[in-house]
Amino acid sequence: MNSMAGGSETGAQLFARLGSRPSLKALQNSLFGEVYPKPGDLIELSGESGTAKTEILMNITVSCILPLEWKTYKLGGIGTGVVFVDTQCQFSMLRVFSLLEKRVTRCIASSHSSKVHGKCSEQDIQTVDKIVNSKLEDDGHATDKVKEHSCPPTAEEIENFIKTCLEKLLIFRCNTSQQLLVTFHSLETLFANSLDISVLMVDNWSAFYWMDRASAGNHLSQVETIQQRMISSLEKLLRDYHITAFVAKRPLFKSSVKRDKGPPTSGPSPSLSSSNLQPDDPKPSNQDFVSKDWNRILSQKFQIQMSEQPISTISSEVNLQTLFVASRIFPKPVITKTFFVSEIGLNFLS
Amino acid sequence: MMRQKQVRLYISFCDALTVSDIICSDVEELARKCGISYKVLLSIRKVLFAQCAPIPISGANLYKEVIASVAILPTGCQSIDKLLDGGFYTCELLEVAGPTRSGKTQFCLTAAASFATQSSQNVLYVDTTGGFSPQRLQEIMAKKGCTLQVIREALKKIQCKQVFDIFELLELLEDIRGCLEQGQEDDRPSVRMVIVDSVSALMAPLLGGNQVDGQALLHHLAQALKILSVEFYTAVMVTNNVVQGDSAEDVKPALGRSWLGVPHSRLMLRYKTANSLPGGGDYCGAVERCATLVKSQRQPTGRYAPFVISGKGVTDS
Amino acid sequence: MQRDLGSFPFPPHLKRKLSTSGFRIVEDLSDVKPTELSKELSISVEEALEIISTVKKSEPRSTLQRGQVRGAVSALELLKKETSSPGIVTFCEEIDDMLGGGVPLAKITELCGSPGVGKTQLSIQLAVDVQIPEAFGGLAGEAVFIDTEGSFIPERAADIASATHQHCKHVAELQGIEDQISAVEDFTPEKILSGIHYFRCHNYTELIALVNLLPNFLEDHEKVKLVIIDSIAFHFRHDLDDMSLRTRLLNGLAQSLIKMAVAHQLAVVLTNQMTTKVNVGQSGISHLSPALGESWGHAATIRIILFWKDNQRYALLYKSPSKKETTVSYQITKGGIRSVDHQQTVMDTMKGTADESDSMNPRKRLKPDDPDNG
Repeated sequence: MNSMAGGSETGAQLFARLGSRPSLKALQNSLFGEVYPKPGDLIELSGESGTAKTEILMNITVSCILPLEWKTYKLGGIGTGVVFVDTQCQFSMLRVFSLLEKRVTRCIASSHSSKVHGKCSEQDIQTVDKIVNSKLEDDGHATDKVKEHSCPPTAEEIENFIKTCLEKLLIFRCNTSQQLLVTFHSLETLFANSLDISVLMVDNWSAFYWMDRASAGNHLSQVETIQQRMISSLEKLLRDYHITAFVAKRPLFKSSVKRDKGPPTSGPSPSLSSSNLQPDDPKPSNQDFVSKDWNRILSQKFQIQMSEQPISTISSEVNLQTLFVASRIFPKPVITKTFFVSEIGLNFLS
Repeated sequence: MMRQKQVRLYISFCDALTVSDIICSDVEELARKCGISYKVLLSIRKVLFAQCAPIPISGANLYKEVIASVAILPTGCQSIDKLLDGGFYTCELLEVAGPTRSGKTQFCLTAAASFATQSSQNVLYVDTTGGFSPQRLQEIMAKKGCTLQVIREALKKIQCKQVFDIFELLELLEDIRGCLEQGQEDDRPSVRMVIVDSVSALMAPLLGGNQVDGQALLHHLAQALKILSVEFYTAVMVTNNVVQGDSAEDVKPALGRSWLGVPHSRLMLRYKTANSLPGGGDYCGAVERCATLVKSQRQPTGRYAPFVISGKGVTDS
Repeated sequence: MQRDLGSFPFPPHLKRKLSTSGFRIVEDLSDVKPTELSKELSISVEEALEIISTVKKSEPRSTLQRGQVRGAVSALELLKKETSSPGIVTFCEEIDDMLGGGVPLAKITELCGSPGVGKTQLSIQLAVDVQIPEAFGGLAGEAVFIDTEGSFIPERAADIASATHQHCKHVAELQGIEDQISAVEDFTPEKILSGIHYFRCHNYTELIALVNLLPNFLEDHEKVKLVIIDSIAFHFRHDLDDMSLRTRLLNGLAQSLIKMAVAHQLAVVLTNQMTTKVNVGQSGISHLSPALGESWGHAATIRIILFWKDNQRYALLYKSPSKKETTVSYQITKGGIRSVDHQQTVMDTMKGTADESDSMNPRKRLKPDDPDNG
């Protein structure tokens, strides 16, 4: 199960390697632009807590598990399986369900309204009626099609459909870094056997850092070992099973060096929040603890921040909304997108 | 089935000491090094996977579970209920943050009173500051028009435990988890709402010094609280202090950056200072208070609801 | 049990040894003998024993009652307890009413005010009143007075003690109750003064050390029902520049105090100074607020602000979980804290005996809608 070296590859593994998993081309718009995530890619979403990282992951999850179309509605999904590894109990089923529901009902509504817009003349409606009547007996299939278009699916039908979409989602809850590591290793079998899963989400990678560091008695080398093991097991999933991984990370230390567009570091305040970098910490230049191994397997890195832009200037609709700025800082060139979160999900401003 | 501990003892005589060691190392190499047969090692690994890997749940099953188990409990204040899309969700950790006397304890007491008078299940109130007041609970219920019998029953359902250090709290949370596990077996969770007022009182003395230990304990606490809410479908509410932010008017929740992301939802309470005393302070007539939703997984943030504190507890203004 | 061993109060080096040897959760330690553990972690048997017993202690007992969390008490029981244990009266009826029967036990009450407004006077009054015999509805306790500023004046304590003695004697004679007459014999001013345990702290280290040693003192002096620190702010404001250290120390102190208050069912009274705070947001208007900052504001359960206005002393209940915000007036006489209504002399105050004895015995003042009675 473990050893990929030499000739010990199983048939399933070979198949998994050569077989193709669903492409993520449909993610092209939104956050990713032209450079959509490809098999074997590792995409890092980095940002302070409260910068909608989980929300982004849940939105991508929704796009992945929705099929391209349902009945005759173009949903624009990918229809691939997703493994969501939740390390901080942040995954919200209620939110994912509501995102799915909103997405589906909007597609249905827009397809109906466009129909009404396009062929609103009475004649057309009569023609449709004629077709319905004339074909009622002899061509069941076509009739179904027309019927589907003329009356939108019931709420119950939609709910059942969403439930089938949710079958494509697998959630792992991890409470320790050991569990996370074991999960990565056990995923090998899962990915080898199910070709329709192409996405792995980890929310979030940094969750156990402090616990590990404390239980290592603050010996950083031991913490580094844990990190390296997790990175190499993740790398294996990417390389051998052509999985695309989306990993959310939180910077562990307050940034000591101001970046070009970074949030201002707060001045010395009599706060309890003394997450300041310890002066004797060996890696003051990097906010992250992650070693070069991580950067080696990284394909794209997004940094997400809350926007400092005054919100009122955008539009009255997004009045109360917090705006976020996602910048792809790796690879170059830097691409920046601004978005806000509403009940239908992420809304990108052009 | 072999237990993890036995496995641990079994292999402790070779280099690999921990579960992670076995899982990460090459089986063939380990077999050679320890002189254990390849086959035995493989089965050890299998056992370890079975024991250590979390059991995945499919989205569809999780949805079924959520629909069957999540309840929305009223906070006792309509405008805040509206802000929270109905009230407390029994799958979320809600934090109520605010400066001194912004109404945090009153909010907790009102919520406990309103839940206990309407439900047959228990509330566990973890008091870390001595702020729990049964007299006030009684007053709130009475002013809301409950009969003596109802008040008596409700007061029985509100369980209070005073806890004054973090390890005591972690132990208590483990106990609650045990209780809930027991309750799950006979399909009736005994405790449906857990209130910790306040977490910052316990954590504040530990943070800032030896920060590794403090941070680790903060994470253990976060995890214990979230497991209660997410895995046992209990409404968990904690209160937190605030500290000065970047500017004078900007306040942020205490306990530091890594705590910020922990609660699923966060309400910030504040009070508007009215007139000040001549030669006195700001301590006159702070009546109107305000709750702002600053973090939520389901609701747009930034909206607020005004409230007042009256005999009935936290109510609409 | 799945509880992570990292969440136990073990020293870091033991945590490290546990984790590197593969002990991660409580279950890993079940059935492990101390000798085995000591060998495996190469630690002393004592340390191993310590680890195992700490973990064992936390395991839920099998006798766990259904739906009952260990050590939790219902609000109904707490209510009964609260209403049956009187607070410490101040001899100012309005302040007592504002607090719902005097300064409550098992809570921290903070008195804030500018110099000279009566914080120390009120503290001394409480230290005397906590000793009122049970026959008068008092607590018959003793007090610990921790003085950080050197503001305790024995003469004032003597004045207040003898006025209180006189008052009780008067009440006893008026009502002619046997118990009270015999109780008052023993309630002499000397006895009262010897019931105040006085400590002087010269810096914050001494204060912290004293508070940490206090539980031992309380074991030996079970009658202590009141601990006063006058003032909490003094040393912290003057000797400590490191704000984050100050916050941490103060928070730790508050935690020790509330723990003590609950464990020994005693009242903790702290006094605090006022400081001028310039509010940048409100066009530079400065105003007074309690010292030690926002994070300290959470430490006390009850906060009372004492202030002067139009030549009159007022007490404002600034923060309380159970009572609403109220402002009342009070005065300081030779005999101590008194209501403004019963002005003039101490003798006059005593005419209102019916009122006074009533306010001294909150047991009689259960509300008619109390579920206990219903």
